[in-house]
Amino acid sequence: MPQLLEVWNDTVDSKHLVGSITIGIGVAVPAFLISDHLFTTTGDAELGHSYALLIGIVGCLIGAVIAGILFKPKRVITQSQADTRNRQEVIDEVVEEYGDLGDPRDLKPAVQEEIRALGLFDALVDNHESRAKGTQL
Amino acid sequence: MSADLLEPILWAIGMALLAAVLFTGIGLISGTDETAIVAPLALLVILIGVPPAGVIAFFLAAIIAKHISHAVPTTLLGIPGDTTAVPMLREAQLLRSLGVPHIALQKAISGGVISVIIAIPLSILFAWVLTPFAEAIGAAAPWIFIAAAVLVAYTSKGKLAAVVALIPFVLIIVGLQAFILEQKDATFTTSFFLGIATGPLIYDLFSALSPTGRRSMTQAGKREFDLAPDVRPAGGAKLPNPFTVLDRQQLAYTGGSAVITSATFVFSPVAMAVLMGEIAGSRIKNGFHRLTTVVSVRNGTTESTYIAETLIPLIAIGLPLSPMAAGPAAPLFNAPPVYTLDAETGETNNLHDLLSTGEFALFSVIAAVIAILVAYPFVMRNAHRAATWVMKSVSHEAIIAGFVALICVICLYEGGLLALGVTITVGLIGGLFNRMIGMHAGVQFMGYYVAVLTVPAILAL
Repeated sequence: MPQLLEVWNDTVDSKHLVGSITIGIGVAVPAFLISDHLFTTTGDAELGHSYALLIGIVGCLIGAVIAGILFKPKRVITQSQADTRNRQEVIDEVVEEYGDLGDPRDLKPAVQEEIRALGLFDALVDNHESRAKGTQL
Repeated sequence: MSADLLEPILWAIGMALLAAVLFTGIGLISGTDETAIVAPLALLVILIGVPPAGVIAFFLAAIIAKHISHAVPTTLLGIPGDTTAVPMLREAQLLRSLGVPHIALQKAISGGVISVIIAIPLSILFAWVLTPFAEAIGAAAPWIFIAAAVLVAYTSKGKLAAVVALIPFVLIIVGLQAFILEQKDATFTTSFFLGIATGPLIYDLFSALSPTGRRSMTQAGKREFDLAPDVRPAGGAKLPNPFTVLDRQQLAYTGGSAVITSATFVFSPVAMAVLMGEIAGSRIKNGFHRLTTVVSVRNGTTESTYIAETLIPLIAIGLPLSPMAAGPAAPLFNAPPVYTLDAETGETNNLHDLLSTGEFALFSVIAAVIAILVAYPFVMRNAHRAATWVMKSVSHEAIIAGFVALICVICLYEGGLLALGVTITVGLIGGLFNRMIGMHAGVQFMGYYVAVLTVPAILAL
């Protein structure tokens, strides 16, 4: 059973994380140090440092790409029209954190149109109304 | 057009194009901090010997393009694209939970484009107005920074705790700088900024390493994301116009924030983005509309503050008297041996002296037009596809790996293992302050300037 952790706002596997960091540093740091040594001994020191930095940055990208190929994301992506019940739960969670999202019918027509195109209009109206009832009770 | 101007214009076009393409790509990668990435690359361009026109165009096109594409990881992945993207993270994340991350993205980048259009002429205007007062501003800078630090700290989540926490934070920086000066005969900048910017990541990595910390970070299963269907404004394949992506109220708030933040060039861009978002948000009653408006205002502010904080000190003063100028734009002021700056005498030989105000205006417009023409259509057209691809194929481990490697390389570049130690120290403490007492990176950046500017001024009293 892999150990899943939340690091920097997303889920990672602790073993994969250690592996990825090792690869990243293992590629980029030697790339920088070796090119820094080569460039500064053969040419202009200041410019050599800058070129070495560029190679080091490329090294970071290569390291990240290798880690990306080896370790797949720990995310489950669903890409569908979410059903209304699920939508309401999601909106409730957002409201819980942010406060009421309001009644979209109060907005100007152009803004209402945008929310309709997103398919959120009815869900927001429902949520607002059920909340309004909740406070009356 | 005189022939003398033709060559600089060609340089400006070429360098702006290069920067726009490069930084549209870099912006897509989350956590690529401006100070850490833009400053070294600008330095590289200067040291290679690109003429002033090419340097300013490269720099401006880089930040404009980056602040358009940095909205992609921020809105679609929920990981800040860079430091300035942090303020819009919460709204972006809530919109993502609602299944409409691409709307957050479209609002953000349209806000950015509009702010660029407003900020360039206004920054030049304010610079022209300020030129007579350049000396007085320079003299008052230490006190401006400490007042700003206290204000920004008090408006953060930490309130009074963040204000008081400035004392240990500033002292740590003063102490580290004194030690570095003793060892290296120079001070560091980038490694401090990198530590502040990546504080939460460094703190999380420490926490994951400790058995006690790990317990609170454990997740039961994979996280689920629900991506909404791709919604495009009417018009089909035609590229959405930023002026129609935003509604009239959003245009007004974004434009207004751009005007204000083109003048407040001494404040931290992150802090201004937070503040402008709060002001706009407090005036909008409907919750959903507030979310989309705040995203566009905050991303707009990242563009206008960056442009103003670069152009105003460059044109009017020639000294790096803004958080931007002391950070990402630092090489434009001081990149020995090409550009020099003598802190004792105030003598400068940098872009301030090498370009006239008219030339600044011309090359800035060239940079802005090219950056927008490259970044905006790319991000707007490919937003949903890029999001889906990134979510499905780019693992968070890879992003962290790339970023940890980047921290190591940039620190080793700036000052070897000592710089790496500085970043880890500042990052762990900054991250702790950030997570535990709500003192965000913006407050910490101000703390840095208090340490380097105000503390010496207090000691000299």
